[in-house]
Amino acid sequence: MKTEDLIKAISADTDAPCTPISRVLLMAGVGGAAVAAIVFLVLIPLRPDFAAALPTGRFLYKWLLTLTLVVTSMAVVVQLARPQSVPTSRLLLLIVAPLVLIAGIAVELLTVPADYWMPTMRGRNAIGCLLLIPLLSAMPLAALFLALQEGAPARPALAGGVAGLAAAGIGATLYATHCMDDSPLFMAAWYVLGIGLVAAIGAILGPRLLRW
Amino acid sequence: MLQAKREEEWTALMRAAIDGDEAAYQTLLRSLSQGLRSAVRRGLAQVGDTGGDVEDIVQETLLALHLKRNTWDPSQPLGPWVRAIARHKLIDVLRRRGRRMQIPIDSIIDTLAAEEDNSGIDRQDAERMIERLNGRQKEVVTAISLNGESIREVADRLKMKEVAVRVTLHRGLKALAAAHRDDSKA
Repeated sequence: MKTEDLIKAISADTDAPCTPISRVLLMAGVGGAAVAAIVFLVLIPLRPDFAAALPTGRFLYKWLLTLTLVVTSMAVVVQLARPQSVPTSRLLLLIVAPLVLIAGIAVELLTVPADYWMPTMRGRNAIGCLLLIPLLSAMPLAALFLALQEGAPARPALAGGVAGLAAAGIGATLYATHCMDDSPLFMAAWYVLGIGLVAAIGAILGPRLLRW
Repeated sequence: MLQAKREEEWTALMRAAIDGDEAAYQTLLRSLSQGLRSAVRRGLAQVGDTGGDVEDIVQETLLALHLKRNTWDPSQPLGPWVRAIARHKLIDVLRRRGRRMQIPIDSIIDTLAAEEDNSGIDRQDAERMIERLNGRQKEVVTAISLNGESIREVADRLKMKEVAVRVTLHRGLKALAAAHRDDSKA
């Protein structure tokens, strides 16, 4: 086939749907989150004191942290889905969530007596956190990977890893409504571990599944 | 200056193409393929590669530009995006070729022989790609590319609905891109 012939075939395909990759990713994030929310509501109980806990600063801080992670990593993944290199300034968005975490830890350390630091960090249900955050992240991660396959990521490992962060942020947001541990110290240990696990899975799968 | 003007034209043509202007798309792809051809040749020369499959890489890149056009942001100029895709494809091809060194000696000799004789090889390679398509896809892609038929003509001749021809064509192009990608993996 001559290149000229290929051009004829390609231009005849002008009408093929061409949904902007940013919208594809956004729909995948929303869809994945919706499915994960249904899985969550069916399988995992809300914390018994959910209504009372919801308006408290300590609970809302958990959502602040996890939703910051979702929004910033989605903003970065949209860039990483394109073939051009992503400016460092954009990648720096990824440090916003860690900064929110550090601020939370600082406040916690200043307000909680030192004797309570270790027990607070150990929390009540660390294992549940480590299992359920990845479980709840699975559907959003799968959806985001399907969307990224429509993209053209120049750095598939990074794109997969950041998709993992976004998916884990969604999973952690849901899990936070079950989990009774509200301390930033607990989150620094166990949420971070669960989220890191999902991000690592994304980074490992990226180069395998996102070739184009 | 001239290049800047050309890139502005490209951007305008791609916007029109995304809105469904087939003629604009053809003009754009032709213009891009010329630029790509010399860029690929230069790129290969840079790494000391004098292989004869420039056209193959150009075609693989054109397919990627088409199938990934949803990753271009229409508010941005087209040039940097095209160059990013071309760079990715060239690196990908070179990397694949690096892997070739680990496959049986027979195939290496095969490959070297193919690279020494440039005449007609490009065409043969590309036809081998079309051979990988399944029956209907091969039929539709061949009709529209090699025989220059329109979607409607193909639909009439094969007794298919136009929309089915379109879907088959699109899948065929995807399969063609995949065939390029997996070319040297076996």
